[in-house]
Amino acid sequence: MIRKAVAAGFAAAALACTIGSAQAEGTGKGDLLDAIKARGELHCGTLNYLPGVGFLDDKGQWSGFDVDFCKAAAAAILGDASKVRFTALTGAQMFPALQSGEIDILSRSVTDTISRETKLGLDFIGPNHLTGQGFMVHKSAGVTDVKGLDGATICVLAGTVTEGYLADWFRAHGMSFTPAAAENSDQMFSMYFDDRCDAVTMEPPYLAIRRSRSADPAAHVILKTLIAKSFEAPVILEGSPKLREVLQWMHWGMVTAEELGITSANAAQMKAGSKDPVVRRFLGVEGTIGQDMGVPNDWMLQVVEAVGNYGEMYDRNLGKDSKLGVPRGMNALWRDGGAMIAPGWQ
Amino acid sequence: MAVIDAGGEGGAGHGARGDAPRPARPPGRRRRRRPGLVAQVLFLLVVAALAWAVVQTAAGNLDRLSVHSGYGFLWEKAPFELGESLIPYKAGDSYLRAFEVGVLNTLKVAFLGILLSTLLGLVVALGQLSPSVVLARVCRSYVEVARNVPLLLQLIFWHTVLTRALPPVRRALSPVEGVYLTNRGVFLPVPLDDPAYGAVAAAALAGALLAPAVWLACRRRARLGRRVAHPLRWTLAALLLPPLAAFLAAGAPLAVEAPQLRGFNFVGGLTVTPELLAMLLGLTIYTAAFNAEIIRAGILGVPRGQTEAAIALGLTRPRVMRLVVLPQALRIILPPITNSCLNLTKESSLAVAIGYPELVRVANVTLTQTGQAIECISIIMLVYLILSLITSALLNWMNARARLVAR
Repeated sequence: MIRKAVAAGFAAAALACTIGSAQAEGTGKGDLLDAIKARGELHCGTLNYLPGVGFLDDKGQWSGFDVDFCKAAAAAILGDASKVRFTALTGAQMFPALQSGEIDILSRSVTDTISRETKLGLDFIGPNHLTGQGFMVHKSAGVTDVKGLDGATICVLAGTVTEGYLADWFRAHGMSFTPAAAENSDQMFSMYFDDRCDAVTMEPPYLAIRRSRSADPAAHVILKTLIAKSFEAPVILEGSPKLREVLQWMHWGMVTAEELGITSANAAQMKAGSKDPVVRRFLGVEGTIGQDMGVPNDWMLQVVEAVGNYGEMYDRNLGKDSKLGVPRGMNALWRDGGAMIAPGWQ
Repeated sequence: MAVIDAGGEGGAGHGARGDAPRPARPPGRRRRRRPGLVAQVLFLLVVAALAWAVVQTAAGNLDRLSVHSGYGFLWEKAPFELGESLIPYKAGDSYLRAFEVGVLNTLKVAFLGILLSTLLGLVVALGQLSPSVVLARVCRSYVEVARNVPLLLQLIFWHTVLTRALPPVRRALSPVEGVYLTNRGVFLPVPLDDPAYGAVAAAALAGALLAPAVWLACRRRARLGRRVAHPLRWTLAALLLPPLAAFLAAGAPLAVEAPQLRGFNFVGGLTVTPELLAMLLGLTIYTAAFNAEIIRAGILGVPRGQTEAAIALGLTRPRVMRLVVLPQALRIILPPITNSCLNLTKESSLAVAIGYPELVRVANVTLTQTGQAIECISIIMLVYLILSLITSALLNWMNARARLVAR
């Protein structure tokens, strides 16, 4: 009996030590940027079911707008866009995965809100995708405006910020609705197309994606009104100022590259031939911007060569060069009437 | 999986062991107790230390991540709607209220599921034992199919069938006036509230009190040798006649509130959503297969001699089943059925896959709205623990009552 008790005691002590050491490792202060460089691999949480945003195809290849952001980050930090380990996450898993350190960057079209940023200890980058919350309805219902949806059944993605916006908006307008919640967007749209609900709510680009793939795209209308604006942005945990700086300026850098006319096709050529001091500083020919930030000096060249500038990345995944053909809208450059703008590269 | 799970405290043999007088402790035994005590105290200390370490680690990490922890968020406003609810709830009520809705929805589906799956299980078990080969084979195949297809798939299957096979609201099927079948649910009429219903309810209560009295009176007369011809009929009459009389005296008010198509949806009446229906179908059909096997095992566990003796006494087959076999089989059936009921309650959490607003779904939405992952998961765990302990206690009580009493 005593021997058993002692053995149990030792086992427990060993377990306690393991937990203790895990704690020590977990509380170790330090910038994630250094951890990623030491590891030689970036851990990225994203989506695997939305073509154009985050998608894992039948050949095991990841693609999409959110996926490209992580590839760009790997190119900037490690000089190789392929050094990323992707993890597909559901809405309920995404923040715990970030908080537990399972992933470094969450690039999953997460909507930036003040409560998420302040209460959950998160740092939002960007925003790199501006959109809003819209509705798609059956044309046969004859609804032309969101105000006509009083009493409707509305399909909504469980555990997303859209659920909250929807309830808030209907409450503010003294209208009622019945939610039909779905666990993932495939299920949600299947419910909508089966007429389980009168309307489905999501960001318009994704509504357009699904409508284009439906049996009869002409039978569905995407309402013009947006009930909420949506700043979609990659997220990291608070407490890594260096990583935050690199990612924020990488996003602004991609916008700047579009402004300067630097593309994946001409970046190397521009580096060799351009006399413009801004371009030379941008591509790391002059100055030590990259080095000072703790990344290779030619980091933006690596980024643009890997995924292109912001416009290229948008057009390839969501815009005119993709099957979805979502207009740039708010995501056009400021000089083209959009809202994408970046601080100067001085 | 359902039957293997440990638990179901107090097996069939429990009663015999509990009733046996304790053997006198051998003299040498007292001294050997002490190391046992030390080991147990040590074990408790180690468990407590581990729990403390886990809590400290979690608290430290949450603090480092600057995540606000604690259950204070339960009093904040919940910004989401839940499709169906037994109590009034709307977006803007507290998270606590939302959790109450979730727990009640879990209870609703668990209660109905346990009831239906036990009844269906009994029917299928009797079917399997029936002398009719066709019936026995049909029941057998049902059991084999239903218990070997994962429950999650069955739930998704029923949900898909219900939303895809039934027509949309504007082309609702109406088999009976006022009843509408659509892919947004089954809409049923409910009786409109009438002042006479209060009197009917009072009469029903009086009937419910009168019925046992009549039953006991019949039994007493039978013991005195003056047997009443149909005691059951008299009891039923005592139970049902008073409310019926009150209902008729009030002029039989039968106004119903029928569901009506207004705008997008049917308004009024009673709505059974496809999510609830899919949950009930899935849980009932799946669990009933296990229950059928448990009940069949219980019936076959009663020695054949009992049946033969009862038949020899001239009892009819149904009476043999009701008076001789089932009461004895109950003792074998109850412990594993307890497990089955516990599993059904816990498996109702799979509802999250089809959007039925039960506890896990509420916790998941709350988790994404507030980020309080540990708190939300702990609430789920606590609620299921409490529900399971209550179910277990209830069935253990029934088990204790059903056990063999030595006379």
